[in-house]
Amino acid sequence: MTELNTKLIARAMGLLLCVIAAAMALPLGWSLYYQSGDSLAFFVSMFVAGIPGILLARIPVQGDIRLRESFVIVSGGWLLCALAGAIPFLIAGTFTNLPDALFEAMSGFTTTGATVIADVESQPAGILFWRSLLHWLGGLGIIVFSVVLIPRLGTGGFQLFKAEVPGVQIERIKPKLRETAKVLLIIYLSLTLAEAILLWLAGMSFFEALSHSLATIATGGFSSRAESIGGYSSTLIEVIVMVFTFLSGVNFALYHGIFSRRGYQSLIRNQEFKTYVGIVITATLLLTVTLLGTYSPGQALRHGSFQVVTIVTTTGYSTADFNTWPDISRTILLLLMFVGACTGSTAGSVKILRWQLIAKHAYREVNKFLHPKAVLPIRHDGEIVPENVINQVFAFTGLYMGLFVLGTLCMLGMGLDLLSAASSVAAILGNVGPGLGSVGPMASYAHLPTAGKLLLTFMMLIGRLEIFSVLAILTPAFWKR
Amino acid sequence: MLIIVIGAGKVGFRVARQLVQESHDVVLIDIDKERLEPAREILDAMTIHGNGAAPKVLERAGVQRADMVIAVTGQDEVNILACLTAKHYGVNITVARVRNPEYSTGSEALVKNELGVDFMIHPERLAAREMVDLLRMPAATEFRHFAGGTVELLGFKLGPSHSSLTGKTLAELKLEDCLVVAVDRDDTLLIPDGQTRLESGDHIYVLGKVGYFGRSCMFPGMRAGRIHSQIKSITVVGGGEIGFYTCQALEKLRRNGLTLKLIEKDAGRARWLAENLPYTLVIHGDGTNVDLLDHENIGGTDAFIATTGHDETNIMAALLANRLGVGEVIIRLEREEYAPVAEAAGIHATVVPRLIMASTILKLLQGDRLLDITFLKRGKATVLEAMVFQGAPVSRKPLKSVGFPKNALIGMIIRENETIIPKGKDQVMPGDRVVVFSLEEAVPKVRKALGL
Repeated sequence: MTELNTKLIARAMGLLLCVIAAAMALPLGWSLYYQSGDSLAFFVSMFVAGIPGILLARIPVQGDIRLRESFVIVSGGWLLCALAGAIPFLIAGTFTNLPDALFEAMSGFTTTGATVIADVESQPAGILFWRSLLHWLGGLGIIVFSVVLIPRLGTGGFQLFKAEVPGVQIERIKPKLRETAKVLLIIYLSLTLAEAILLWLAGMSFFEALSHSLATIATGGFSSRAESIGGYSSTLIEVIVMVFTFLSGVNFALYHGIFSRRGYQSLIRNQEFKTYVGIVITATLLLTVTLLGTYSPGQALRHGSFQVVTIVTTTGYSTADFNTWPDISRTILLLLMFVGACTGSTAGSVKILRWQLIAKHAYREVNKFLHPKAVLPIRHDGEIVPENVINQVFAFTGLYMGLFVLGTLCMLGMGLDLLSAASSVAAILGNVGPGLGSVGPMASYAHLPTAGKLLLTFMMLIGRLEIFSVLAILTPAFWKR
Repeated sequence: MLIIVIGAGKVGFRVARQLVQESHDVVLIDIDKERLEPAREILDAMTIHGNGAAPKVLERAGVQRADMVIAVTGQDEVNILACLTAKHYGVNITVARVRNPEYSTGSEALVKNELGVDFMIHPERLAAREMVDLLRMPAATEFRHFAGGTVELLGFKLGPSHSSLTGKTLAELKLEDCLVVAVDRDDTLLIPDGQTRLESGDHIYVLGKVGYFGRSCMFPGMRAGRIHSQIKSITVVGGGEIGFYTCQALEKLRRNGLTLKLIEKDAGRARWLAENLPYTLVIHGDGTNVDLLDHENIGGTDAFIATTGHDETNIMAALLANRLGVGEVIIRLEREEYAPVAEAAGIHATVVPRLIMASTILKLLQGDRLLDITFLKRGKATVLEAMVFQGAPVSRKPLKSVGFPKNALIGMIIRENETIIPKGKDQVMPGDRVVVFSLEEAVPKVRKALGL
């Protein structure tokens, strides 16, 4: 192996910093419009992030991005973005220490939506918008990363993706990387604008409509209200948010498929999408039934369906304090945190495709008992899934569960109760946001010890980047020449 | 006509023999001297030792004067190249046997004259189609279609369940909408007349109008149906081309509850099959292994098809399946000589790819007049479907005064949309299509009478 192309990495980091600095102009605009008093913070932050960004971006480079560089760029990039994103929080005085600011920014970029701000509603407009924008940028990053970059890398855990978007082969969306990214950006933007306009028409202020829309499409979950979407007490708003949250959990490559010549067939024929719909409906019915003792049937369905969609897509919005629900309802929600929505969406967690492949593998093993000599390849959407992909899926899911257990132990060690410890790690690793117990939807992560916050910050990153690319960098072999 | 046959293997030999019988000039080319030996001894044909795709060799065979080149070596590429070369010399019709579907599907360029192969024949696919047809009529030994599906031919053995038929003359039976065209008694074929008495153990061939065998058939247990009405599970042994195509065709019936098992010996091939046959359970193993057949509960399946390239394996596997209690057993045979042995052992249907191949080539040879030709009983009998042209000796006279060859029979006349079972006073008109059943020795006379 040759040495890492550090200049190339530095330049990529510089470009990222420039993007972040440029993005700060938006919250700056809102803070000026609302005279919310955090304008100076954003103004200064733009320079703090932008100047090193410009300097790094000017570094002359040669050579191509290889696999190893891309690992560093992706993992390091997310960390750097979180650091840069934390600057306005520190300068504006939202937080007084770096771990809190980093937690909040990482929670934004990884579209987790877990907050350490105890009192959201007292925050200035710029800061509130910045949190939502972090979601949106992170979501865009993950879409481009997973739909454009991963299939190109073509090795390791990433081969999953080739098997995962059958029929809608990403390479065939548009022959060029740039074109593909452009199509995805258009879809992403259109969904965001559509939701923002609908929410605005439904009675939100345009500022709030846009903030929530940015956070929904990215399946983030930051809200400018302490009671999240429930704070509006409007069924219409809840339905709009729910529909768009659901849509954000669909593989974005499929949206492209709809507009291509295959039409809705590409959606209907997609097994993962069908399972996604099935899971949402089943879980909604289950949850509604368990809530009948708590609410009237209509209210049970209203809160049940909203919570299922928002948890399964790892968004984490709430219309009610589900922490006060019966144990069975809370357990259903906790389990949903491990499901995740479709691959190629902004959702986190294990994702449906992986569970499908695991189920298919299990079914095959049962079949092997009956027919020991049978040759049984695993198929998904009519395509053969290579055996190494199955291995990758098991490795991923195994690691995911291992990290969950390990994380829970650490959190217990820091003095949390079992429910809060387990649910916080599940919600953070799956990029959901709020957990149960002391980290419930109406509470925050502010009360955790600093070590706990740092651990969870790292777990957000690891969960977001699908474990392998982060862990690869941490192996000694990666750094050996 | 001068016809060059390239490849003196089983198919090549069979085709050459047929062509010689039809008094064509035949040149047989093969790269293997030993394979030419039997041809030189038995056939009245010229044999050339050499590479049939090489221009020099083809020139020696007289390719400039040849009317037709038939390339049936074991290698697709050689066959295609031989046809291209022959076309270059101005040969009218070129025929290539192509096994690999990658050459014959998708691209029209290779087939549609542009490159020079006029006809690509895929014997394995044809054989698979015949196997599937046989499944529609589980008790039959033969079940074929003619005249675009408007006429069906059924062959079966009269057993104890046919007591209503045996011991009576055909005139007494008063059959309607069908005609007994041949009776095979003690391995001798005869064309029956009204006085012929059917006996138990006879193997009879019946022509029927479309749907007859599915509807009001007088023959007990001989109702043709959809495959899935009688067969729910099928085991195929041998995942070669024939096995693959058979399964592929049968997979379409999965929605009707048909389950398929395919046993293949080679691990790599089994993997390929499993990947390409999504609704077939592919088992890697030996189809003659009793333990495997037992474990996979082969005795519980309704039909068993052996399609490997080894006749001995197929017969062995079929016998095992028979013993395990499978009702319907069909095997592929390369050597048609084994067919009587197989039949004697209780395997009641055999499919011989090279017979199919030979009949297909003969069909091509006759152009638009001979519409179909099928060999039965290892070539001892032939079923022809032909168009009757203006001036054919058989036309415009009552059939009893035509002097139609003795060992042949016009079984069906298709006029416009009407199918007629002819009587002595009926006439064949130009423009009619006829289905003729003929014994081997009468075929040349039949062709003369039909003006072919």
